Amino acid sequence: MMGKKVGLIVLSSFLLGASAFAFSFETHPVPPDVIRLLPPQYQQCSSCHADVTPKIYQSWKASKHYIANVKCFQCHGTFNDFYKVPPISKCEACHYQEVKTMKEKAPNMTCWDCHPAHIFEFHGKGVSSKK
Amino acid sequence: MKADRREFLKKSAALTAASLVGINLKLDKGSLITKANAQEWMDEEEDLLQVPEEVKNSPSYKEDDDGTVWVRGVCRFCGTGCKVWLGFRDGKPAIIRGVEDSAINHGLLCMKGMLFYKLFRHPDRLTRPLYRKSKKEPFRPISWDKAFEIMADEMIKAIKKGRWAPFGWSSIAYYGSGQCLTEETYLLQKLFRCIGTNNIEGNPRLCMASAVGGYLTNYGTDEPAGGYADLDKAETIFIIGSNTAEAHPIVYARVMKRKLNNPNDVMVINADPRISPTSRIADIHLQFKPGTDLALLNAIAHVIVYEGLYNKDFVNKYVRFHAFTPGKDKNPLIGHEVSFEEYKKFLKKYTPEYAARVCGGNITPEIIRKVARRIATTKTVTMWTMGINQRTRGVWANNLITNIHLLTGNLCKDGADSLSLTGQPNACGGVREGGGLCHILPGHRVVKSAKDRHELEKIWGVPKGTIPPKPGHHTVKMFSAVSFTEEDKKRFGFKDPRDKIRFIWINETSPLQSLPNLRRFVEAFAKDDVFVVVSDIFPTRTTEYANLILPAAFHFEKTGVYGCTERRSQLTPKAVKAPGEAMPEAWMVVKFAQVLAKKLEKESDPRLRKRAYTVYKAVEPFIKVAEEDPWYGLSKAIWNEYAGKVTKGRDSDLSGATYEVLLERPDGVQWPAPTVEIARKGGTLRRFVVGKDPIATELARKYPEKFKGWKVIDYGHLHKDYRFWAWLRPYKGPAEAPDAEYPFYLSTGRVIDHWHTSSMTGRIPELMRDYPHAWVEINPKDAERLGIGPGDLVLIETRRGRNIIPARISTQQGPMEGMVFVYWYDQDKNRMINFCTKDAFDPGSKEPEYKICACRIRKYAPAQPLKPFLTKLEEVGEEEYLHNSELNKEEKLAD
Repeated sequence: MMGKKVGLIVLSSFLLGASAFAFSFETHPVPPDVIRLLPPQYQQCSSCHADVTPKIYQSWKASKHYIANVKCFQCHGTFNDFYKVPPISKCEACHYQEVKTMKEKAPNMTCWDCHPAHIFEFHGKGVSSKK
Repeated sequence: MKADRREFLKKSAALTAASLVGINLKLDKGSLITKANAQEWMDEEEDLLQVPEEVKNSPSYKEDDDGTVWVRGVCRFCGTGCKVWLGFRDGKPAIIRGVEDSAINHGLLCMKGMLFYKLFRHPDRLTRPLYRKSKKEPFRPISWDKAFEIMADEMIKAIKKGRWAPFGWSSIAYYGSGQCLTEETYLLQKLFRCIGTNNIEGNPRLCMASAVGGYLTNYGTDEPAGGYADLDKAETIFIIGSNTAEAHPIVYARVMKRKLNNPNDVMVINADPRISPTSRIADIHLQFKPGTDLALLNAIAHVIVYEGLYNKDFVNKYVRFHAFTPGKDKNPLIGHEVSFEEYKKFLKKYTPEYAARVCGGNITPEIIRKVARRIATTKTVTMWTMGINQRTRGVWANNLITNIHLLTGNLCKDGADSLSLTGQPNACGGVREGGGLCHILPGHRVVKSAKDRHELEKIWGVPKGTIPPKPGHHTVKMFSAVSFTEEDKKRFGFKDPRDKIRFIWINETSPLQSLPNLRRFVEAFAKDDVFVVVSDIFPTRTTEYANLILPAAFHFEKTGVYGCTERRSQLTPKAVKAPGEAMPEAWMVVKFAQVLAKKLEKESDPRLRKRAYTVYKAVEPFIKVAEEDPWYGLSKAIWNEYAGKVTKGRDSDLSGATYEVLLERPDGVQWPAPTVEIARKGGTLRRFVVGKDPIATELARKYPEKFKGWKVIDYGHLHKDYRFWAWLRPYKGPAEAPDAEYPFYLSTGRVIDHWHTSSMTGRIPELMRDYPHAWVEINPKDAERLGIGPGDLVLIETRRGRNIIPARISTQQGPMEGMVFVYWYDQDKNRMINFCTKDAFDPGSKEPEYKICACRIRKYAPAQPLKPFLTKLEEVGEEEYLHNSELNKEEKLAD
């Protein structure tokens, strides 16, 4: 039942977004003006994503990023510059050295090839061990 | 909750579907694309990169192969002091990343730090001086020269309406900020003291004053003994009265790393009446009734003493016990010495059973014993902030924390410290060390001491007696001297009508949002009997009441030093071209002082005329460099005077930390750093320790007999016995506890996304979207009892004011039963919680008790969409501007 409703939002919102404008960046399935008209308690990412993408939400909630308060928009941007899959440059703000090392050693890889997205488990040593 | 969510999805679907056919939803492309990409605010043709040569030739500058230019500075969005690289692409600020080899943040940043580059060319930036004679008129742009003329005239006019009091001119004041650069605070307080007033305050009074009082009484000198590095070796991390996870995210990341890497060996204890994100990492959460923590801390000491767990060697050698008896003891900072036995007798009453009864919440005698034994037997770092400081017994609470460290010897060794986290980036470095409060002078000197005053007058080259001999008004008193209501006059003993403040310069802060019990201040500032100068980068709730707005250069647009929590000073050099006519405050001071001096010279009153010379002398060393290089050279010259001459020989000695050294170091210098050699190595990590602290080492060398066998020397100037003092401080509750009429505790605090009054973070689209407005957190049990659902608008009432704020009800985060918690950044008048908070203050530190007052709540309206609000200037005629709030006549408080 719920899935059906979620589907409706996603579908209708997508149509709305697509029909209204063409964006150079990716569009969030539910347009911002829809979300802005919702009561406050439904405006933060987690209020919806705990249900619509439960696996992703739970992975993040079990991660260091959750404990450290690293939020969705820090990687995915906000509606205005939304990325479904964030560019790797988003990681550089905190993990510049790690990204640099990876780019040198394995230019075609992304962080999440090894550290599963949202949970971001890491294997102890490496550049970070200097910290 | 689940039912609500389903309901939401249903409504949302309907809403979206409706919008498809054009019902009830205006889609505005402008509002949809709010230019989150800062590049869109920048002129494509304009090259914004402006780096001084000296910086270019230093390790604080580098260029990548891909053309990215990086300039190194420090973040300005909390007191942690994270070092950042600001990256430029195509001559424009494009990215911020953490500095990997910084001992503070090791490359990490929070969202504020990584996004503030978006503010450099924000369209709301103030770019021209704006003036209006009356607050009923719109602002009109004027030239800088004209602005200084008006300022000087108005200041002299105000002085003439005032009187010469023991603290100097009664009717003028300066109110600064823990975000001003050290050079700015130092020069501004120098100017005002040379004009002839100690009415010099700053917002650190509202956040750090109790910590200063705590350190002054425990150590005899301000600021902590250790630093963040102790977290990496601590076995117990005790956090009390601090939501570190949100207020100091990168310090918290360090706690997190320590805990996660050593899950069984490290214990994190979080003590707070509210479950906050900081609790996520805690092994034990101590939840007690607001204001009862003094009983809790004394009970911890009770267990340590009565179970014989104290470090006898450390206590015997290095600790003495003091108490203060009003009426008997003259100096509250000294009190009188008592024996350990007397201290033990004092603690007798504070049994864990007693404390558990007082504290309520989840506090049991067993948990107190467990925590006390853990602290006594492991290396412990305690951290605290506003939950302890913003209290009517904030100094006492600070003392009781440090007492525990003194008893257990958890001080002056790796992995142990009593570490007060500073709220602002330069509250320590600029205001506490730079003399930015009414009772202190730069270099840890005090106004009351004639020796200190004359030392400074000599350095400044001004006549003896230039600095008035008595402290000026502390913050609440200062603003009460502006509001000057009958109640204010009675409360503070203002007998003479000339005591009203009629001219105030407010710099880089927004007191008309951040002061407690705000209403009377707002009403007073709206009148034309006080001339208000505000220097800032954006319109705020305070520029709204200004006569003169001076556009300031932002961080990285000017040069200067910030000193963070752990006695660490770091330089942020100029790198970005400032917009329009925006200028550094230090330049404003130098220019204004010259105009003022000329006008004072023509005055007939000799008391005014003689000040022409001292005002001129205050800025004389900087006049030439201010003309030639206001962006870098001016700050360097001021720093050379401050660090090189004023701090030299003091405990906060930064004379070795020259700009050259600060540009070299990836993480600045911790004082004492009396030589360049010591500064080059980073200064002093561990204070008071012989062999590690140059001052303690020198004392041991100079007096080998006296200090034979001493590993630690407390050289705090107030402690002539060279020892730390533990204080006997009884339990005392808050100034206003809940009662039948106002049955809830009200407390306030920050969220991670926003900084202070959100005038900056509110303009970063990502951050504003995450937290567009304030919330009131309510315990689910209270919410259920009162029929308040998630998102419902709640009316909060105290004896002082009313707010209407949406409810946040969560089982994972929030206050204990009987308490509500409100975020204070929101600029909307109905959500500005400081209309409700209380302005009772600590008798010692004069810091207000923001954290506790009594309120009542009820459901006001069902959940509904809310408009975020930011104060802005709007053009209302040709070259005429008013704030949006001034235009909106309907904007008023809820009645």
